[in-house]
Parts: sequence; C-alpha cells; structure tokens
Amino acid sequence: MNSFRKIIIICLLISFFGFSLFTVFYNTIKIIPEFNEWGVLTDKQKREKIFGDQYTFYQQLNTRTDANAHILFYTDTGMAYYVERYYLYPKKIIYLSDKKEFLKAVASRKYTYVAIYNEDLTLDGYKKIMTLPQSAMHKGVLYKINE
Amino acid sequence: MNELIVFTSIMFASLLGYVLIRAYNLLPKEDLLFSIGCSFGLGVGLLFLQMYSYSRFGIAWHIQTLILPWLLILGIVTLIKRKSFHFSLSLFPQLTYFEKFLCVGIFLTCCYVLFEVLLRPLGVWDGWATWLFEAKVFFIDGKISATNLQYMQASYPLLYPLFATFVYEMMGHVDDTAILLISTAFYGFLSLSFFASLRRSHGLTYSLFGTLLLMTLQNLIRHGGRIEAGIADLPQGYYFFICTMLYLRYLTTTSHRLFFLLCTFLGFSTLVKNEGTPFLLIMTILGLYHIYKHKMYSHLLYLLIPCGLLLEWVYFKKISGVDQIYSVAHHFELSLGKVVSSITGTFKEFVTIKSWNFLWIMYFYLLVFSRPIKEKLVNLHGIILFQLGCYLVVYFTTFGNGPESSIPRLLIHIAPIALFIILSQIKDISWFTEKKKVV
Repeated sequence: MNSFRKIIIICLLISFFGFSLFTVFYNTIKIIPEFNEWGVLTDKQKREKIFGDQYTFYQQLNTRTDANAHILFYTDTGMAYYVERYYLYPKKIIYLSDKKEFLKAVASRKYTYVAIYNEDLTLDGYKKIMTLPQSAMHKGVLYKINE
Repeated sequence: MNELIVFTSIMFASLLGYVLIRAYNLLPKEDLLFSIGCSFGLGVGLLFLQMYSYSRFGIAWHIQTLILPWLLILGIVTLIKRKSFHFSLSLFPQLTYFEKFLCVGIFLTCCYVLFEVLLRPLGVWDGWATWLFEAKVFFIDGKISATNLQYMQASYPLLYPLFATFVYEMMGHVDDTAILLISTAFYGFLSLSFFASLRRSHGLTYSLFGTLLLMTLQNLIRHGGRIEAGIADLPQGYYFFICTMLYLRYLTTTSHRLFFLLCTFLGFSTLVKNEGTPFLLIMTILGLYHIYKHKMYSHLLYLLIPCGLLLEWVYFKKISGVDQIYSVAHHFELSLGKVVSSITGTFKEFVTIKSWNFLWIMYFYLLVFSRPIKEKLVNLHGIILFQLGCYLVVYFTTFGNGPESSIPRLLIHIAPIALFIILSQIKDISWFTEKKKVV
C-alpha cells in the first residue's frame, strides 16, 4: 500500500477517534438538560410527551370501554392504530384503514364500540360517548352502539 | 424495584450461560472475558427455548416452573463439574495514562446509556408495534397461540419478545421502562465481547481504543439506551458478532465443542429476526468449507441445531396461519427507480457521520485500497457483503421496503463486525515497509 493511502487511513482513524471523544463529551454535558426535560416528568406525562393525543385517546378509550371490549377502529394514521393496540391489550382493536370498508362494518352493527381518530364521522345507530377535548390537536371520538 | 428484577434476570441468564460454557469447556479457560460476553446470549437463548417449549407442550409459565429446573441443573452441573470453574487471570492489569483515559471514556459512555435507558418509557415504533407488544401479549395470555400471533400479525421470530416475557413473568406485571434494560445489557455484553475479541490478538491499549470507538457510535447508543431501545436489531447485531468471533476461533482450533457452541448461537441468531436466515446461510457455507477442508465430517451433525430450530419456527408459523403475513404485506415489485433509490439511500446512510462516525467510510476505503487482506478477514468481508447484498436485494424486489426507514437499523447487525475488520486490517498494515526500503 502506498504512503498516500496510509496517510488517508491515519487521517480517517484520527477523525474517527476525535469524533468518538466528542461524542463522549457531548453526551456527558447533555445529561443535565435531558434530566431537566424528562426526569422531572411523571410516567404519564412522559408518555403524553412521546405519543401526544394518541396516549390521551388511549386513556379515554380504556376508561370508557368494557374489560374485554373489541373496538372497531378507523384512522388515517397507522401510528395511532399501533399505539392504541399496544396500550389497550387485552382489549382488542379491529382496524380498518379503508373508509368504505369501515362504514360497511359499522352498518353491520357487529361492534359495540367504534373509535375514530383524526377524523369526525357521524355514524347511524351509534351514540357518541367520548370525544377528545377541544385543546387536543387531533380529533378523537368513541361511539357505542344504541341498545 | 422493577429495574432490580430486570437486572437480576439479566444476571441469571448470564450465570446460566456462563456455567454451561465453563462446565463443558465450550470455550478455552483463557477466554474468560469472551466467555462472559457469550454467556448472556447463551442464557437468553436457553430461556427463550424454555418459554417456547413450555408453550408448545402446554406447560404454564410460572416463576417456579421457569426458575426451578435451571437452579437444579446449575446445582448439579456445578457440583459434578466443579473442577472446570478454577481459573486464574489478571483482570486488572496496570494501566498507562492513555489506557486510563480510554477507560474513563468507556465508563462515561456506559453511565450515559444507563441514564438514558431509565429516563423514558418505550418510545420506538417497532418496539410498541412489534417486539415489546408481543412480549406484553404473551405475558397477558400466558402462552403463544395461533390466535394471539394472528392478532399481532407476528411474522418475526420470538427470541427477543419471549425473553422480555420471561422478565415480565419475574416482575409479575408489564413495565415497559424497566424492560429496556435488556437492550442496555445487549449493548454491554456486545462491547465486552468486542473488547475480548480484540484483546486476544491486539493487546490492551488497542482493544480499549477499539471498544471506545464501538461504544460511542451514536446509532449503537440509541439502540442500547436512548430512543430506539426496545427493538431487536441490537440483539441481532450481538448474535451476529458472537457467531463471527466463534467462527474465527473455530478456524484456528477446529474444536468440535466450539463448533457446537457456534451452531447453537447460529440457531439463536436465526430466531431473533428474519435477517438471521441469510446469515445462517453464509455461515453454513463457510463452516462447510472448513469442515470439508479439514475432513471433520462428524461436525456436520451440529448444523442440525440451527436448521432444526429454524424449521420448527417455520412449521409453527405455518400451523398458526401467520406464515404468509410478510409476503402479503411486502409482495414482489421491481423497478429501476427502486434500485436507484435503494442504492442512493443506503449510500447516504454510510456517510451519515452523526450516526456512524467514520465507520463505513473507513470500512469501504480499506476494502478497496488495503492489500493484502488476510484470509480470515476475507471471510469476514464476505459475511458483511453477503448480508448487505441480501438487504439491498430485498429493497430492490419487495413492495414497502426501502432504506429510508430501515437501513439505520439493519446496519447495526453488521457494524460491530465491520469495525472489528477495520481494526484488524489497520493492525495488519506494515506501516514502515516503504520507509525502510528507501533507507
């Protein structure tokens, strides 16, 4: 291998090591601001900070539905589905991303609960039992079938 | 309290692995640090097998039924093989100022990762959509079933989620903050194994130097304790690295015990993520070549371990009705645009210094310009390029897969091996040859 190539390798290695030391330094000084940002929050506040309205929506769904509820869920954001599915288990989410299919499933009246996130639809045969507060950045509604 | 239970579970897995490695001399006694590095992965794999088999045979998961058999085995093995546990090794040699400086850097990085992992609950998409969601579902249901696999649309292997379920069983409830310590454990044991592997041939200073380079890769820190803790890519990287190092040892010792351990780890590698399957393929080819070269045909039997484990998982997926999930979601699709975007996306990731430092730039520079390359390193390059090639082919040919969302994660699988190659290759360069010639 010629000297020029060796010099490049040395330069790369020095840069690698230098950046590595910078990472140690940077991470160390980041501890205090990160603690101030996260360490002072409660567990619930941390989850709200990570998931935003989706976590608030989960809390509402959890309190307003039965223990083993199957909830028909419609949203245009896949993330909301996965978050609610994760937090609500063992309550189950039946997710339909296609609006037509969703409205067809609603019309079949097979589901006691229907939840819609990030959109507001009026559903026949169901009554609205919960909505996310006005302060929320997204819309979220829970419907229950009319007895 | 939950953190303590997770820590105890990690120690339990490591103890289990360590006792078996020592008792059956699966690794040489002098390889103490590497044995400790392997012990965690072996323990996690065995606990996974236990959880999986219990569920398959309808045995309930309880603390007693999970722990007591191991305690019994550990007690008997320790009693019978107590002579195997004698060792003497100087763990704390005298350090120079530079070595102390490197140790401080490593220590601060460990502290940072630990601090970060305890700061936040699970927040990474794949964590709550797949890996730790599966762990939660298995814990709540108390078993693996076709119903829960179908509900989760689970098409990935279960080693990582089932170990997390094991820890949840120990806790008695789900805590998705404390469980992230598992990721930190993989980060720590990977670093330890990396250090031990380098130290074996390159001395203390260089090993500490290399370990600091590995541990400070921001992407590794993110997976070990920051925002991306809780997914299976770092464990996959750990298993790949251990397998590769075991393979290197196998090349020099040709011990059948070592090959048995390698095959066991290969089996576990295939059960972390689907990406373990191409890795198994390339490792099998390399292993077969070595066996053929040295006519050690009796070793072939051990290859049944990874193949058997993989086939059982494939069969179980089929009978559970979840074998088609991945291929339906990611059907065949090939276009020139996709090929170009996959290559450019992957290239962009290679030069993302904030994630990878100069790792990939150095790797490819040395691959192209550094000659000659030792035969064993050629094999390691083969592993990396084959694995990378498979990821690219998947990007080229499947719908919904692209480097934008996954290449930073996938490169974690091979990054430790790449760094090991870089450091070994630099050490092999004869820096002063030309100068001497001139003189």
